[in-house]
Amino acid sequence: MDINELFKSALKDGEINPPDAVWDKISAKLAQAQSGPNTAESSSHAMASSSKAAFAKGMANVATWKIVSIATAVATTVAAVVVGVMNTDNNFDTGANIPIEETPILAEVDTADFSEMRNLVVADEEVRSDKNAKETNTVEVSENDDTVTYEPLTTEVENSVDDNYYMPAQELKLKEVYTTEEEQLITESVLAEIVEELPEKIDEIQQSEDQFPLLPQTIDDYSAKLEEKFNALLSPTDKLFIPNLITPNNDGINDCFEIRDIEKFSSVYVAIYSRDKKLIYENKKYDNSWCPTDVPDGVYFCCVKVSDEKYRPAWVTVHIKTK
Amino acid sequence: MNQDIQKMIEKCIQGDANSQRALYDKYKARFYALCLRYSSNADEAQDILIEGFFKVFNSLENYRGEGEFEGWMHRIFVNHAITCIHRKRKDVLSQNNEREFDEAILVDNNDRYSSDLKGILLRYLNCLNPKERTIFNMVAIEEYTVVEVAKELNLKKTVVKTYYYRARARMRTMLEENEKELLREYNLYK
Repeated sequence: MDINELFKSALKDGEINPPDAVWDKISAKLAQAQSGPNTAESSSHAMASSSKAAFAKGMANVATWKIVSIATAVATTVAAVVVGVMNTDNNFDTGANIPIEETPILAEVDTADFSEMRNLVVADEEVRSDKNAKETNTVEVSENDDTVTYEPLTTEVENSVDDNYYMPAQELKLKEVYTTEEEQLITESVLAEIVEELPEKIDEIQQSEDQFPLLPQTIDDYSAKLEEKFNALLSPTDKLFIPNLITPNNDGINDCFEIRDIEKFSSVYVAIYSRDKKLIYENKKYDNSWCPTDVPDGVYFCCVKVSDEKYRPAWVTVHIKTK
Repeated sequence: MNQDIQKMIEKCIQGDANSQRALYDKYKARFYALCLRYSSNADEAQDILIEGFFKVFNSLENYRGEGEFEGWMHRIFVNHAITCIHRKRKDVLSQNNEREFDEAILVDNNDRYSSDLKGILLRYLNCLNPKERTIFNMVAIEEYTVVEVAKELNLKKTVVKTYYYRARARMRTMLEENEKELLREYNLYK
């Protein structure tokens, strides 16, 4: 059982009775709302008369601003439509290139706030024109009288539109607050994503196997096949077991340089060199007889060869002095 | 059944106090439980419940009979809970005291809730910080997908995931510290 399931079973669709006082508050609120929304509003705001006047003034300003903005919007769209109708033969622009000064309504309204607002409108137009340019960005190539149009990937266009642009101001502010937090979380979140997606990927593999079932195959089968293939590649010399440590101290354990199963081969060539490239021992028909007691401790290099094949290089550590 | 609710809704729109009371009685327990899950104490939950029901009564005219009435109400309550958290979050951020695990709340809520499984889990859920609690509620209990939650809360998908994992880990440590027997009972203790 998961911790989620524990919570889900206990709390999803769970029922807990609220205290009776809650209904009284709701009914009071409803009664207040029904008796008159105006009184309720004024009581909740509870503004002083002076501040109320200021508020009204502010509202009036906002209202005029809105009217101006609506007027400009209407004007630009109307102009756009007119120009568009006139230029039907050419490429149709959605009003992006029309200079705003030419519209008659705007010429009459000339206030200080207007320049600011015009900047806003211009910015708006630029963004829109960019967007249009992206959307209509098709390349036509004529080949053998056949026109081939390459359309940009729609997903790219969707992604390229800036999400923030369409977000209301309030939400933007909220997001700004979180950016630092998000930065802190980057490493954690990446980890979390990996952990989250692992089981999904395993599921995907499982599903694909369900669709295209493979022949039953155990690891033992597979490793046996691998071993066969590997052995086929090996030469007899490679298969020899050559020790890499001998301790010639006459205790009967690892006293000699003993190559295992050497009797199976007719002739095994062994040559031993010291670290300063001196030949120390050589035998064309080796019979596990090198038990060096007169050489210093250290690493020795040996060349081993079965019949006519290649030499196999190896090394052996000689360690005489026990204790 | 459905027709009863339909009649009740029509009367509520006309302003009949008795049917309003009936509607409230029908759903109060279910949605109080929901509010408790989304808030950090019972008072907060009652506030959400009051405002939520007020919203429901005011926007009954907008219910077009598509889908279940309870689902529609559920949606209103979850949305309202989230806006309440947004409202609260400003204070939390300005004070810069995002708590991780508030012992005081746990002790304070001890007396208010029942001692059964539901009460115990609610107490620990209330101890999480608001963001983690909301996301844990939506993902773990109400089985929203991460994408839906991200859209709802206007956060990135990875951020939602992080909060979810954190909330789960914190819940786990809290339960392991204080409620070993309960975890053993459900074979959750490692």
